Amino acid sequence: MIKMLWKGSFGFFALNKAFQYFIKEDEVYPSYLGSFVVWGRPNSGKTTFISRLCGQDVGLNSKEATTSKKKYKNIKFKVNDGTLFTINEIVDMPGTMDRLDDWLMQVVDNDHVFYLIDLSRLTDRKYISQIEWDVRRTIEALGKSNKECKRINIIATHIDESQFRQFPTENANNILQDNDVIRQIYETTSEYKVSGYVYSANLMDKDSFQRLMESVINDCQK
Amino acid sequence: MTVKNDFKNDALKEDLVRDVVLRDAIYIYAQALDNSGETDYWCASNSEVYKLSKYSDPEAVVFREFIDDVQTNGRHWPIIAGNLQCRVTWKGNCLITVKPMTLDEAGRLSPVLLFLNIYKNQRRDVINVLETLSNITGREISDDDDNGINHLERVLNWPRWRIFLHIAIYSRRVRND
Repeated sequence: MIKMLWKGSFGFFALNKAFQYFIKEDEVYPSYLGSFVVWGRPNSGKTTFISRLCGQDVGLNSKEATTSKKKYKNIKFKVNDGTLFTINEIVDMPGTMDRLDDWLMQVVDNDHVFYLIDLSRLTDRKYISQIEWDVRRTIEALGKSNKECKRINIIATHIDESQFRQFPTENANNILQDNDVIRQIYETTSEYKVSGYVYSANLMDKDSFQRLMESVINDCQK
Repeated sequence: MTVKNDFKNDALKEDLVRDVVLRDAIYIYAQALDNSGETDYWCASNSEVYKLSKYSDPEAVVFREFIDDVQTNGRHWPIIAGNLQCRVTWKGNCLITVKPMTLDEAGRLSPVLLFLNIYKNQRRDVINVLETLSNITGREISDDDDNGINHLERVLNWPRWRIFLHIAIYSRRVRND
């Protein structure tokens, strides 16, 4: 009898350990974030942003311009506190003007919209007018859509190469809000009853990216 | 059953679109090196090369759709190496990616794409287009790729059945990177 009990408890202990080893608790119930679509003019950091989301190393390979639309499915992303999130799909597209119409369709079809701005080009008038045009068109498309969550996430990248590099990344967001260009872009959102969120990050820095995503996820869950 | 029918219809539609909208030509795509967001589209047909005027040009629209389709659903066909890569579908839609030595303003590789149907006669013009690609796109192409281009020339001169067999044996379904 004692022998049987001993064997039974040992078996239970072994099974329990095996279960804990192979199936971690946070992996059993991941939170689904829906689908993401990412766009911005060439070299704004779209592919780096997506590589970070996919947990790939960035900066090791030589950089290459994106030439076609790519879709990544079921991406697992873990935040610093260990919570696991699943992104159903991420759409990456070349940042060229010929893709604007495609982007506007994706904006309506996907749950979360990310438009990337290269901060190092904020002194370039042509670039500014391009991003103002893109953001206006995006907000129009979101405003006219039947989406429940009409929201655009504007992510300011290349902070380390910009005029804002002297500020700590965590404070850069507040400083950015005072910038005329960013404020103008931000104000466009209110015209069409679309929520606009502005974030900044140095995508080459893993911690900075992690903080960015934590803020985005927190805001998404509000 | 319904799925099968839909698939058949989609496949027929794709063939129809390609044959009606695209000519028996080689299409070339390159992004502006100054990262302004401009894109250039060319069409090389009967030893003539001309630029497509607008992004909304039906040829450019269909060409763009084929770029996405072949990059996503195409098979890696290792007939060329180095700075040239080839992806192909069973229907012969072929996308050759050329990685020129000329980098964009941010120091990134800016690939030039060539699209054609490998089972059509246009395949015999590919070598001419590759040899004049520097003049067409204004990018410097590495001389190291000469061996690969010679091999490609031999393969493209084969009859269609042999090309199909080569694709069937050597092409691999590789995730687009």
